[in-house]
Amino acid sequence: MVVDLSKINNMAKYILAALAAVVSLPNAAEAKGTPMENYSFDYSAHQLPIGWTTMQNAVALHDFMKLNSAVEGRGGTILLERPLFTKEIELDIEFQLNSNPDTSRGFEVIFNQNFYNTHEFEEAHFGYRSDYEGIGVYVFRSNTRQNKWYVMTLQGNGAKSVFKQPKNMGSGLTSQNSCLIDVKDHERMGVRITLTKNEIITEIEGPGEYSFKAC
Amino acid sequence: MRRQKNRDTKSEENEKTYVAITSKNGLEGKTQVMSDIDLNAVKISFLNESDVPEANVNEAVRVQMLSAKKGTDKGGAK
Repeated sequence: MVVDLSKINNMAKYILAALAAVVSLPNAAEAKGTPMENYSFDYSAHQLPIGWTTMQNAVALHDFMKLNSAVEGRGGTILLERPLFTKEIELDIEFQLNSNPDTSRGFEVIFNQNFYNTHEFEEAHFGYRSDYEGIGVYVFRSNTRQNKWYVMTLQGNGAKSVFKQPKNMGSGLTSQNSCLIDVKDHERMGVRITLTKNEIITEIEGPGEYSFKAC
Repeated sequence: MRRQKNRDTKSEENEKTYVAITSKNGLEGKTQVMSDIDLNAVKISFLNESDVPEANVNEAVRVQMLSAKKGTDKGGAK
């Protein structure tokens, strides 16, 4: 058998080049990051990052999260990637609505005792499922109340307890579980939710304000 | 300040709480309602220092997780 050495040399070069490319892949991925990498601004005090994972239309940009875009039928979600082992927390959210407040829907904050299933976000069933266990804080526009925006808190062990048991916290929008919030487009607003073992406290920050006030 | 009783019957120690913020576009009657929403900052503060997930926090009980601070590094600060 006659072997052309020049071809072997060329082949060896190709193999070496391919090996080099494979070996260098992890470094390149590390340098550029991966699309699935979790988003974290955890520059403070944790040894491990506690970040938010984006789902659906949500996307992490340079200095803010795009939670949702004005695309028909779509939604966006960010998930705290680790569960909390306490119910004594305070969650501050500063948000901005870029769409028309008269035709926007809003968003909700969910504190759930069960791990999420992704399809639930897609179908927007949170707070309405029969096995829902948790607390939902809704920042939403009520089309039945002159398009005014509300911050509403609901809690229950399912649709029955949320909507049919008057003693449970909230059964729809009431003066006991909600308050008005002035929502304007392209202005910063905020919601502060404080959970303790015995109560839930919500505060709001309207457009042009720089501190939370009673809800 | 809106205060409401937490009737959670499963508030046992070490119980997990998963947190999510979500928005969904959809129909309101026959009208499509869509929200374009930015989250400029999301911050979790732990009311008890012992609840802070990692043990190396001595003073900072309030832990800023996601900030609107411009120029901050993002993407897996590991």
